Amino acid sequence: MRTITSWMGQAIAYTAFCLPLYFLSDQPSYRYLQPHESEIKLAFKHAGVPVEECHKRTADELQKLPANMRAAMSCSRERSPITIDILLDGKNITTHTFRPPGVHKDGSTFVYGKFSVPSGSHRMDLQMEDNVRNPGVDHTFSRQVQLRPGQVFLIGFNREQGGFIVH
Amino acid sequence: MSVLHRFGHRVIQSVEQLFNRIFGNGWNPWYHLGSLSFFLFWIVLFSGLYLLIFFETSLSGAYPSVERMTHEQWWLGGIMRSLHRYASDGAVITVVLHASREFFRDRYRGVRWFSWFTGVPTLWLVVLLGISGYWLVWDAMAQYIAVTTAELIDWIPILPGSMVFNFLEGNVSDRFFTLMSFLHLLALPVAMVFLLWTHVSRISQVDFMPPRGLAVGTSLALLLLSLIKPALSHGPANLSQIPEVLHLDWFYLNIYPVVDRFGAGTAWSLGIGITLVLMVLPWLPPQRPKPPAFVTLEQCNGCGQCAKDCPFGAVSMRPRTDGRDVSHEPTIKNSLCTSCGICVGSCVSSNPYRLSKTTLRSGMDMPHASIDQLRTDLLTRLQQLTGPVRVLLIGCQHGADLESLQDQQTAVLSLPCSGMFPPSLLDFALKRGADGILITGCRDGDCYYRIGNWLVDERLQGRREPHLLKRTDRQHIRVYRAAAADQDQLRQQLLALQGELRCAR
Repeated sequence: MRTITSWMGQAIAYTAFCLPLYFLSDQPSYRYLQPHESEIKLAFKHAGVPVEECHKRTADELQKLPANMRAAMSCSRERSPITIDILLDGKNITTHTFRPPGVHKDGSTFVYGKFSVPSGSHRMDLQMEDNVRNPGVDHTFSRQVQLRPGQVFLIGFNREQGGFIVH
Repeated sequence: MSVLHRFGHRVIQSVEQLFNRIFGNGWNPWYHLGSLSFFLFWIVLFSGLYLLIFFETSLSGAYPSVERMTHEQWWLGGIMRSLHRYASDGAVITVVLHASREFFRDRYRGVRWFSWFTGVPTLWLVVLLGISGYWLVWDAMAQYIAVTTAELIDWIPILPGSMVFNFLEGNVSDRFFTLMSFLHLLALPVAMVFLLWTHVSRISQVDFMPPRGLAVGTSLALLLLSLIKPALSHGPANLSQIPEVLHLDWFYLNIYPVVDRFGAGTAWSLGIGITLVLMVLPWLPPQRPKPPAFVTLEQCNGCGQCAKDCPFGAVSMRPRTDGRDVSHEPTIKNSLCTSCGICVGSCVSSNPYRLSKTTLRSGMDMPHASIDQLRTDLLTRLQQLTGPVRVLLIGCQHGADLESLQDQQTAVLSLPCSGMFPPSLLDFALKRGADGILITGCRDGDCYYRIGNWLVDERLQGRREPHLLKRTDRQHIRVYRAAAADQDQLRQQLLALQGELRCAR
């Protein structure tokens, strides 16, 4: 026989069960970006320059290879890693090196990174190295940008289109 | 049991005692956390099926269709959506409590490792179902989940790191969304059902539904919550804009802030680390194995009651091998046997009146606690009583401390499980000098071996073989179940029985 007290107790127990559901299903709220912040996103696929130049095999080298593999030219499959520096208003905010994927490190590199920065007008400079045979900056990007709060400023790269591009 | 087990068990028992007063043992949610999780899964499944009727599984159609359900059809679609969310969140609570309770009750090691072990990947599936569900709404939070999940997956070294490119402005397509729909609506639920089936495959008499009162109460509570606080979406996804503030469901999406703050590597280490620790827990340290039950074929009539009663499916029947004129014989799978002794209590040949020569032999017996030893102990302890009334206190080793209640008027038989004694033993005890019997065991609804209490009740009430003999004087038999925390109440019950017996003289 259930009494009023036990029914009330049950109501309290069900409320206690529902309280975490009420609050934790969407609270406390999570601030991903601070107010007046924007996000710079760098995302592109790019193949670094092969780490070695092709060279003509010598007779000795050819002799050491199986008969069916005696190609005259030897070309390394491995590609250079891609190193990127991002400068905002002349200050370096990150330097990151992306390695080419694959067992032989011969794939195109997927470059991805995101950085939250204060909104507003900024001078943005990007420097990219993609050739270990020729140390130094290979590609640059420099522009005055206007960032809205919460805006995703997406930068890509396309060699055919002349280098860095803003989407 | 370790100090940690003992302490945790004590705390949980105190809470359960309070809930027993409020709900009664039958409806106590703590005793039905597993079936309550199943029930919440059913709510999620059926509300999800309703939502699927109106949900558009395309990138452009998903958000508007969810909004239409939430606002234009709030009286059913909106409620179903909220029920879908809150039942999913509630399942996280019940599953975590269920696992904690089994841990503190020390029911995850030894033979029972399998249920624990298979429960761990189920947790992953629960989380994946939650994440993929939020993804399908395709609002600003779904966008955040999609991008961060892609970053998590791209972190895995052997992958090319290209998944996140699917969620850049201009690149997003229906292709990936269709994959997520397939995962959430079909692949993950099917995998979940399979894993849940595996999780309970080594136990018998599984409760897939909690008691009706508890199911109704839980449904009403969730319904009320759905009306008070309907589940809502963020604004629509816009990949050129990032929401500054997100209203995360912390039951499912708690890993994402970890990714943002500490990186994908830390999040993976945390997830995999916790998973590995949980998976090896049954062997940290391993439980000392107890010798399993064994069959003595010449005493067995092949009735199959032991196979019906075994709570862990350790006993099965196979064609007879000894040439006797009965079709089947029991066989025990040692790796499933918890040595509870319930099969001994099920066996008609465990009848103590059957003593021939000097040893009582049963078709089913335990090497470390044989029925013959039980009979001998009973007789010895009854003979040692010198008080005005003689009471037999019989129960299990997982409830109250019985030995401390032994005195000049009380003989104690403490068994691995109260389901181990055959009902005929009660008649035998009354015939051999006991004036009354107090049967005890784990609290009602909380049997350490799952169904020992229930089997005792069924047998005493004549609903299950072997029955209590019709001639047995039931007036002198009491049942009172007590956990370690209920020691005083058990003592009171014992004193009350002794008092009644004295008055009756």
